[in-house]
Amino acid sequence: MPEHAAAESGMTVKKGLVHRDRYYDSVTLMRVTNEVRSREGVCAAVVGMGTDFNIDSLKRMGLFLPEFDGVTPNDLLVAVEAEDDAALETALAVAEEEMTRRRVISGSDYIPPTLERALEMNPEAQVVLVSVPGRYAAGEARKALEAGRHVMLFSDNVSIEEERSLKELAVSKGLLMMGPDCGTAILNGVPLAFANVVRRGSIGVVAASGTGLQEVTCLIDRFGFGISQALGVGGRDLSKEIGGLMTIECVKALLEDAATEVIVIVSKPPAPEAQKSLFRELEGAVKPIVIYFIGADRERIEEAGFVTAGDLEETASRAVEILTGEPVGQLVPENLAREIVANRKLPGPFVRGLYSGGTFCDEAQRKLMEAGFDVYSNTPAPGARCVEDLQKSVGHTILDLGDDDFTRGRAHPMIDPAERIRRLEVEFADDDAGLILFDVVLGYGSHPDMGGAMAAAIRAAREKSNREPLLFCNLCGTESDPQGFDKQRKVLEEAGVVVFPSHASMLRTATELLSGKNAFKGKAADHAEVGKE
Amino acid sequence: MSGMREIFGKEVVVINVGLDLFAEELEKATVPVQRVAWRPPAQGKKKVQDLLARIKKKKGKE
Repeated sequence: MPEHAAAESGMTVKKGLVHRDRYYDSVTLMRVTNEVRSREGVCAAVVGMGTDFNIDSLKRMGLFLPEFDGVTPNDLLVAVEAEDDAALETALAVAEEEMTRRRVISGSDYIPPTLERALEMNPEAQVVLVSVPGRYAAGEARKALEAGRHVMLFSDNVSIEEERSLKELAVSKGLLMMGPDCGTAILNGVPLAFANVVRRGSIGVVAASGTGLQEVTCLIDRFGFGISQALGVGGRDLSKEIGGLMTIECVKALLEDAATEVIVIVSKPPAPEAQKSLFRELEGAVKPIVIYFIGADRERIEEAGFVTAGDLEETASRAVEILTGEPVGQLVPENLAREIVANRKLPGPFVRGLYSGGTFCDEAQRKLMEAGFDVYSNTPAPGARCVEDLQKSVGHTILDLGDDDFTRGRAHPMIDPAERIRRLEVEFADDDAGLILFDVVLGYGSHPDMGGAMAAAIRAAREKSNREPLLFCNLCGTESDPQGFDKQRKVLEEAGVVVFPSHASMLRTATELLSGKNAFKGKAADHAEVGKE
Repeated sequence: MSGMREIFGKEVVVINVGLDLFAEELEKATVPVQRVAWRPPAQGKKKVQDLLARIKKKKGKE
């Protein structure tokens, strides 16, 4: 392990360490980096593998030190810039301690170095959760399927050809192939990757949408009912190329499952061919099926004999209504929404959405457009416009901060709040921003205290900008989640956030506020022409 | 009949390959999980990986 003395650089000192052939995953490294950065006297720190991306980042930060020449993606790099030698040495010691601790947490038992070995050692394991970098992901998933195991493939950047081939293999073997880009599932009550702790029950969910699945399962729980299985299939399953292969198989499995009485399907609107295949396969289904294709024509779904819904909350309530035979009211009824907005005035004309959930971002755009507003986004829904500059909002801008645009070299915003906090400050400082919408998604996999992190960031941004844009949060989670719904709600409310128990109720209230008499009456600082059509 | 539903109702045992966070979370939820000390093959070098993939493919055809 080469080690170099600290190099003086103006008022700060820098030092780099290279650990040859030592590998940690990206989330672990992000957590170690954050721990090091939080230490007093540390100006900048990077703990990462020697990938091209990390080397470029180090160069941009002025932290590419001579000892990093010739490193490979299998070498671990630690780079720290600190105010003095003492802070520098402490930071390096913290990095080492954190990495060692994480290795110790992994247990003292033998950890197999390959999936093949793990499969041999654990013949009783039926599920393989794959989250290696995209270019290796399909290979690992294939090994698992060939060994007769169900797969949840969290990784993205898997080609659609590979996806098709993996799903065909899974179908031929009667196995689950959840993903790629499948962020959530609940199998026999076990939360996999990002998932919430919900009651067990008789509603089965199949979703091509991660946060869609989380929201629907949490709301079913909120209504007092439970989930038999919640199966993710990956966002492209109902595309023309994949043809709904896994959605169809999962729904068929739930139709045969004695514990499932009602089935819910959530997805973006399918390709026409995929929808046709799905409806053909489900014709004459013996169990009621609720379908929410976000933004799709409801009539066509109803004509095909299915129950449908206009948002994620209604999807959950429809499923519960089938079980009880009783109507389920809206979580935040319209009169209450009016009450919430009654005494609030917007300090700027536009809404800004800072989402960690892709489905929420999509649903927000569609609902705002339905209400007659022009919308911009980095992931524009049909009818919305693409933001030209990712770093600058214009008009009503609704961002998916979990998209590749914002996550390159960073962890997802459900784990790491840093990018969203940075953007929150930008929006606070913008005189055009009147209302900020955001989500906090609880459950396993998510940040242990996102509510607290956002609350602290809001207070800091408010003080720095001396502005008071309104803040609405959709809190997606349950009381049984590790973070606790009520605890998180309280923390956010104390920071002046209006917290909603569903995304739909937040959007109903937001559109009421933007359209009603309390809407901003002044002139926009920029883009005065942008807004309601 | 779908073979898929054979897993329904059984105790889930997981092998986690990739982000350690997910294994930690499963352990917190007292779910049996086997970690894999995965690392990129061929020291993460793309050229070597491509070469290995070609050899494997060729072997498969033979």
